[in-house]
Amino acid sequence: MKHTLLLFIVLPIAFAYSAAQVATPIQVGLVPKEKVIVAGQPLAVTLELKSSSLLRFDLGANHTANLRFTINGPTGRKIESQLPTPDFTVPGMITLSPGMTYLQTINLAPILKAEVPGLYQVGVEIVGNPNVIFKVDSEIPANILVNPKDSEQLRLACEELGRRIEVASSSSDRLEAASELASIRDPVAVPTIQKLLRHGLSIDSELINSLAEIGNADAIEVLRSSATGPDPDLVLLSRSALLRIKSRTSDEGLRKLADEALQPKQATTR
Amino acid sequence: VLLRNTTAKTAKINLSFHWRNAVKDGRASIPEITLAPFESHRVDVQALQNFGAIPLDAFWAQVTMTTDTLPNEVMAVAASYDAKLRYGAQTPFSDQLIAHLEGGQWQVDANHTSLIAAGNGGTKEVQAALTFFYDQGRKQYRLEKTISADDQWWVDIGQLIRSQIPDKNGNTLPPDLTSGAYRLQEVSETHQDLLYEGKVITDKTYGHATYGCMVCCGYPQDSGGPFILANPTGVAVADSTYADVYGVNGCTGNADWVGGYFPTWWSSDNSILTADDFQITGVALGSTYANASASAMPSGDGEDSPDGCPFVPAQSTGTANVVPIVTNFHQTIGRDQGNGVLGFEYHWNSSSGNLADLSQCSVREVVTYPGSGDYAWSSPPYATHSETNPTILATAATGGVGNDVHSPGSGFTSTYVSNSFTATQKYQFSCTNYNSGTWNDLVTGISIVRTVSQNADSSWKYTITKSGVSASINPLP
Repeated sequence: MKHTLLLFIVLPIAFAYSAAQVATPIQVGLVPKEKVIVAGQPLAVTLELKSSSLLRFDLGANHTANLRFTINGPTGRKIESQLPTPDFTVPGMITLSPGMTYLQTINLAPILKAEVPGLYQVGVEIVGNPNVIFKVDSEIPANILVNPKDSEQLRLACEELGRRIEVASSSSDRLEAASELASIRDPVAVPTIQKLLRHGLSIDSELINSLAEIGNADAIEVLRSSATGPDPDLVLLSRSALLRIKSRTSDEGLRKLADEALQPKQATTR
Repeated sequence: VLLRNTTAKTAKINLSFHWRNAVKDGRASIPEITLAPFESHRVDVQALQNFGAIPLDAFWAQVTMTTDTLPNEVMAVAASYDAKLRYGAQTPFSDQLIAHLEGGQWQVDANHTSLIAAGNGGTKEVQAALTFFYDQGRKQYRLEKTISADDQWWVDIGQLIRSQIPDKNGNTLPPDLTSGAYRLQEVSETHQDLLYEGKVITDKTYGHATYGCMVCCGYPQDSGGPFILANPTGVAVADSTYADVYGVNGCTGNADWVGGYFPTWWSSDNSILTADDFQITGVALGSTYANASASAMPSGDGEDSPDGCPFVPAQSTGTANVVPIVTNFHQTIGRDQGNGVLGFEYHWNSSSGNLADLSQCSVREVVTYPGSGDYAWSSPPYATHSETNPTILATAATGGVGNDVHSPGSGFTSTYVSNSFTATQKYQFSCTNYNSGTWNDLVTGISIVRTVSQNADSSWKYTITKSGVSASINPLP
């Protein structure tokens, strides 16, 4: 008798939840963070999700693993890819309340570096949720125009990202902006990175790895400084970055600079 | 020594002499002098020497005057002139003691020498440093000495140069050096304010003596100090952190530690935090002010200060925030995810009880591989694979959950050899509003051991082990 009663209670609830999951679609929008950028800036979009009923779904590790992007670039090449998933992530389960909008900025640089000027069209598909209907907004794909490389515009973009990092109201905003800044693998980013390093902003490791990719004399100088900081992990990481530059560069002068930066500090006598 | 009572009442004066000759020093005092209202009085030091109270060969003395009046009611000047009153020198008395003084130019050549006398006007000894600057301030020569209470330190700069006397670092002043500037400071940062100083430049040719006095170097209120570091201070509930007080030095423009002047600390709201003796302790989430006060701290602005070194009461106030931090970090799942992948899940809480409060916090893993530089996995047995060393991955803390996977890199080569390496992992958190954003350990010293080894049947296997959990591929294809 007890078992029968339990069955009567549980079954209707399960049916109701399942019906809601299947019946109500989630509206998917994709908005360019900037509609016009210059070559060297990362393609970045904001994912917008809305629903008229309470729904729970999974965006995958770091809220991105279940997003499959399609990028049509100016060369006619079409890329379909998911963002690489790092080893340490946060789970991507989202509960969307009626009327609530879920927003997430996504840096697409790990999939494609927009080095060729022209129009980039970005589409998205959410996978891995068989019981949820995702209805893609009619404005997708999102269009981003990439103008030819302009060092001054790129420098201004770096400064703006630096400002966003400094005034970020949350660590997730700060990490997102740092990820975009670290994607600009150009010497013009070095002064902004130098300004942000060792200020307790929790983004140093990302920026140090970016300096290794930039790998010019200015980057080596900043790494020389961070290789003597108080955080032993960042010291090790900075030294690894200098060794990476040293092993990759074909410029004898840069190799010598990196080598000097790796030497222990000499005591000065007068 | 000329004395002048500037008041309409009588004044009692006691004069004591701490004299020095070429080989020794000693002390002498004279009977109490009573000055009538507005009376001037001359104390003839030569007469005291003739009388035997002070040795005839004493050529220098520190004179201390004690009165029953308020400061500056009895004025005193020491003066010395030749018999024709043509050549002479005068020096005023100072009633102020301080921890840091900056001097003007000293001069040493064939006709000049500079004598500097630093005195301890307190009742306990003080470690003092005299630093001479030369070569346009680019080089320094530093002497240090412990000066006993009521004692002096007498330095002849010409002697230092001529005798090539090394300083505390073994440096000597160049033999051809003729001028420079100097600084007198208490070495210990206890701010005892015990020092006073005088300098005389003598001219052998004309018998002229120029008296020079250092200027008081304090922390004027209008130059940005005193201020509390760190401001804002972030502290967690039931946690403590040290705050401190700094001031902008009126002479050097540097931010100096002046905490020694600030013995009194208090919080503007004890329900949020307490502040006592440089220590701020969190009570409940919130924001208020931590305050510190000094009954007297030097406010000299580096300008010549004829009236002595000014001391003023001071108060310093800084914002202090009691903030949430990451707590109770723990493993909830550790499992073999198949294909040689280990998966872990970690959970954590906010010290406030609400994860959303951790918006300024991040959690990261740091995996350190053997050796220096990026770590290239040995190939064979592994396919070409390299890890940034250390690998550092951070994520926002508001979720309260982190997943960590450990894979066999980029796979394996078709030929196998035995291999084993250990990476060391730790988890940390950082909040930009806590502890200056430094990374704080949550769990450290986790070993991640990867091994490729041969089975008894000659096949090969891969095993990864962390925190007592293993995953394997056995046999390797």
